[in-house]
Amino acid sequence: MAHRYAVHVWLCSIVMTVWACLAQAAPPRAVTCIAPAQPGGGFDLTCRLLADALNGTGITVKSRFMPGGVGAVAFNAIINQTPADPATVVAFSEGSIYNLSLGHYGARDMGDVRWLAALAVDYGAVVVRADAPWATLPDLLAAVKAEPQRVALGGGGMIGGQDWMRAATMAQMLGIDIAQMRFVAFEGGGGCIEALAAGFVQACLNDAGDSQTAIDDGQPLKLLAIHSANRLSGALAAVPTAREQGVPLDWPVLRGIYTGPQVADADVEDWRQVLNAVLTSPAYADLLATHHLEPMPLTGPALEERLAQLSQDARTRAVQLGVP
Amino acid sequence: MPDRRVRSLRATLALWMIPASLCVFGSSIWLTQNAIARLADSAYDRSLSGALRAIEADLSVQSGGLGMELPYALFANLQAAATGTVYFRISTDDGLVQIGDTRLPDPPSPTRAAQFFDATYLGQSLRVGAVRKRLAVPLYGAPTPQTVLIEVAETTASREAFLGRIARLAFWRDATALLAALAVLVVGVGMALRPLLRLRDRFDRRAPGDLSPLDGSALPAEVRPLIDSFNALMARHADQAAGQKRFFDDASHQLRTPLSVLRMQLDYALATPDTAEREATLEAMRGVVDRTARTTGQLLALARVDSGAVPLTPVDLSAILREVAFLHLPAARRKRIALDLDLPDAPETLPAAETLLYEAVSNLLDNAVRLSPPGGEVTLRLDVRPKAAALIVSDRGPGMTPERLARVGERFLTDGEGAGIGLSLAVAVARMHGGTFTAANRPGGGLEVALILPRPPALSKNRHMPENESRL
Repeated sequence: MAHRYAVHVWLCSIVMTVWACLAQAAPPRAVTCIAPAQPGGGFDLTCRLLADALNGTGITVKSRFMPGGVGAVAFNAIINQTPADPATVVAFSEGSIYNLSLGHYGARDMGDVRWLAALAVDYGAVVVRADAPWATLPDLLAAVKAEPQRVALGGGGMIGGQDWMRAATMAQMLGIDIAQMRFVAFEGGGGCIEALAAGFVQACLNDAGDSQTAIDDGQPLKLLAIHSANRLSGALAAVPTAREQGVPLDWPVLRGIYTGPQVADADVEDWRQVLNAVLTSPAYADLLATHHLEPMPLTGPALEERLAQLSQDARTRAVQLGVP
Repeated sequence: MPDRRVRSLRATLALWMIPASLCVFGSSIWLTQNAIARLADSAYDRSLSGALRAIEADLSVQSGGLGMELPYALFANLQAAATGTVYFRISTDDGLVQIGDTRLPDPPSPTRAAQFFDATYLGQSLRVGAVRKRLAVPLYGAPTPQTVLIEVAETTASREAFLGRIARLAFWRDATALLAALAVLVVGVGMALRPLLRLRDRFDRRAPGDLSPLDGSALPAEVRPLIDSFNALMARHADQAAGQKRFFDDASHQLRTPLSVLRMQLDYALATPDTAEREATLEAMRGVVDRTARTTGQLLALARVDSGAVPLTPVDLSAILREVAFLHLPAARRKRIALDLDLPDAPETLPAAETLLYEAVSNLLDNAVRLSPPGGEVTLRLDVRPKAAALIVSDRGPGMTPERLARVGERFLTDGEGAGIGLSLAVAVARMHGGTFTAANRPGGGLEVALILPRPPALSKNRHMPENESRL
């Protein structure tokens, strides 16, 4: 089996023991999934999804959190520190593509890492505390318009990032001065939820999947809107879309993983085959449902094409919103 | 000279006190404000500093990324205390990490030490605390460790409200003190001026001829010199009035005595049957009439001097002295008196009232001849000095007692012998010309009197007032 051979190679590179290489033993196939944020956000969810998806294949996935610059630190770390290690993957989202495309990761571009797969698609959502005074998205936006300093919006990524762009686009729709809008940047959805609980921000522009996961975990939050064209299924079916509430803004959020730039083509191909098999299985569909995500199985050229499109979108939107 | 800028004491005090008080008032408020602002800043900055330290302490690089725990409980406390909004920002110098309110302004100084500054963000005034921390290890294998900038800011609304309260408090405190001080001043000035108002009443009630001194014992020490001067003036007026009275008594006596003599001589002349006797009597009457006429002339001259407005014309002083000497030569010869005339070679011409000057010198010479013993000597001398010309008469007569010498120069001097009117006239004429009159006993006996007239320094060149005229 091709991927069995590949795993042997990983083992050599991970444990670096001549004995293990020569013995051709069957080790636990251990992969590290870097979530470039603090626990609790979309990156964390992506890594957990990967772990659950590979559960039946004998590959174990260990999550590692490397916050810093909404993926910027992890992106640079994998290039500088483990560029050829196929056992280290990093979670990304559409926001990562945006930041990368807009230069927020430093002098980097799409070709600096190897994109392995899109695991799922999530949708942008607006989440507030369960005890918040706003029942609908228009209520919240009206409050932002009335008192932009008092109603702070939070999100992953910096000003000019994807969550900020969503806030700014909505602000533009409602005639709110973007320069007056207070947007607080966090490492990811998790950081924003923490600030939301502390009352430091009033709403988080997080994603539907990780927000509902937090609610499932018992956090006192409520979703005001989801930026999908139609209502989602399961627990999220009760949440109205932004479109329903008169804010016609769809915001799908692709989630996936990438690996280092010098990982061998053979290893990348191994990954693609394993993931293709896993992502199209019925068990994976059920898994997505429990994580409140929608399927989006993309690997190889299809993925590259999609990412190139997203990168283009990011630049177009940045120009539209006047991001420097 | 009446001055239109003369102000009341109250106005003068107000003019000085009110702007000065306002200056003191303003600077006091400004100083209070500054001191309080500094105190408030340091107190509020301490709480920002606590938040900075909390964030700094919880930064970690163990994960290979930049992990942090944000002290939301501390932020909530700050917000509650400041009743404002708290902001934070954490960023690395490579720009990859930008957390929180990423548009908070950078601190003014690149130092790593904690610093505090005022800034504006989202249209609000902020106080920002900032500190930089160099990470222990570089992130993502960068060549050098990154430096993390941590900023915590709070809106200054509550700080400004606090300062506003303090400022209002200081304002009212100072304003009250100022008003109280001004009120006390107004009352105090009123109290201080009350003796002066009483003094004015005493002046108002004074009889026109009352030259008695004022009692200044109840007046403030500052006013006492004024009263003393006033009393001295009153005393001089009283003296002068007494002198004037004596003079006129004397003068009228000198006129009445020859008139009684004339009356007796007239009666005798009419009564005597002897023609030769009558002629002798009439002849004798001529001398008395001459003397009376001379006295009357003196009094008239004095009156003319006193009435002022005598025109000054250029007068040759030597010519006057020569004429006066000739006039008195017969009288001097009768007493075998040697009359010397001592004149400079050059003629000396001054602007003067010729008739009055003649009369005055003539009186002085008459006195000298009359009072000199027979066979004595009298000198009439013109002494030209740089700024004055002195007309000097000296004799070998009895001279003057020190008491009389001390009073020479006063108007209305009397001696009971007719010399007083002459001296008074000389004094009056000297003063009229802007000059002086002096008298001194001569060593070896006799008197020397001098009528000193100022020489105009540049009579022909310009119209400037003579120097010694302005002094008088």
